[in-house]
Amino acid sequence: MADSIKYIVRFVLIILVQVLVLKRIDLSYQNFNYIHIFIYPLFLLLLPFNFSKFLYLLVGFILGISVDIFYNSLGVHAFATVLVAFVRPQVLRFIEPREGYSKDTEPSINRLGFSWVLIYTSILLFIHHFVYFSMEVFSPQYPVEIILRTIFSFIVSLIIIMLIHFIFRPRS
Amino acid sequence: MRNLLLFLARYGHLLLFLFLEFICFSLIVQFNDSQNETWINSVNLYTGRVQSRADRVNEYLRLQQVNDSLLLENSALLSQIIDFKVAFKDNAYQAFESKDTLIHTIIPSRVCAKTIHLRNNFFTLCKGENHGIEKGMGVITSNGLIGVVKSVQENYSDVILLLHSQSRISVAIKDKDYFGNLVWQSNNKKRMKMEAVPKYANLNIGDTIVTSGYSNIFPGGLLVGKVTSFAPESGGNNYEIQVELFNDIETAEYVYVIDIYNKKERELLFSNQKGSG
Repeated sequence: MADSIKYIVRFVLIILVQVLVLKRIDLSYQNFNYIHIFIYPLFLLLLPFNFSKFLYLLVGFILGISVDIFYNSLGVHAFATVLVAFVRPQVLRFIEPREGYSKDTEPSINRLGFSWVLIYTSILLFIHHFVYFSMEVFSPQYPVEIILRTIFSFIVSLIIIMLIHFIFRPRS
Repeated sequence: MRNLLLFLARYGHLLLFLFLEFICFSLIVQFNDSQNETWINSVNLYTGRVQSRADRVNEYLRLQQVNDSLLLENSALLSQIIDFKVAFKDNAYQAFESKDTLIHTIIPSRVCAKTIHLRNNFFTLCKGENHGIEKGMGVITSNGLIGVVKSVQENYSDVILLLHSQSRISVAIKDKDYFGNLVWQSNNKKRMKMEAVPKYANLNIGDTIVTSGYSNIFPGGLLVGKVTSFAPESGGNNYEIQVELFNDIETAEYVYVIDIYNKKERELLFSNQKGSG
């Protein structure tokens, strides 16, 4: 119960930050318009590992749609988040530490270490960004566009997400 | 049932994933203008080709239907043409058209069976009494004569072809007042002989042969063939004219049965009724 309230608050906060703050940040410079910061996947990444697969997909969908509503791009973010939600179990298995995960672990620097969180976040965030920009450009005719946007946005988003990890790490 | 549940437990999240992505994709292409445009364009690009192939197959499957409808259309046009010719006195040999329009009923039909290599050849049409075909009606294709209906069953009818030893068709030379009978005496399926044209006639090679209209079988002015050679009959008063047919009877698949005989009869009955009543 306490957990679900925590998640809901987190959900709302993260979306508010995304759509009220980050959406307005314009990092374009002349022709260079490749940076769009997306930190809201962090909500998905922070959910505990033993979260039900079904629910996880649905949460991903709801998260994406919520962001989409504010971005006026119905379905684009949701497509990316649902995909992230789907691949997370595989990614987790792939980067599983030798001692395994404790049962209801949330990924945090304190428990799993900085480099693990970095790798975990990078993989999923990159997938998210790549899928998002692919769906946004929505044409295989502009692969350079997709890749440039993905890479620059990914770097900036990743930095911010890692900062958030540091700032809000649970005291232990 | 248990298997189904097991299946859902194992692959349910995959199905849900696909389902959600499908929803997202539909949302994307439905509510985002640029994506929508791209989607429609590319869908057209890729499906267009598939579509056209499928259409071609479909067309092929519908060929019979298309044929039939074309046949009906052709018959309508043909009757209009004949009526038009009658109305404008285009044919000089109108024996019996008292009125300006002579409405022909033209019954299109497929050829069900044919003999072509004998001395006396027949077509069997896939239509008969039930479709309005009667004994004595003329049978043509769009570019020439075929023969005359000899006998009718309920759903089939037999046609004596031009290529029959007993076939006699009254024909004329177009724009000249000579007429005669068209008979088949050779073994060549495109060559006929025209008889009973007097020796004093002024003929040219290449003259067009049309139906004369002096019979109740064919309306006048239907194209039949052209003169390839002519020579005086030995010991007679007439020319022996070789005619090459315009149409190829051998390859005819679809024919038109002209209802003119019937029409005349009905007209006669009608006027009798009027007179008595």
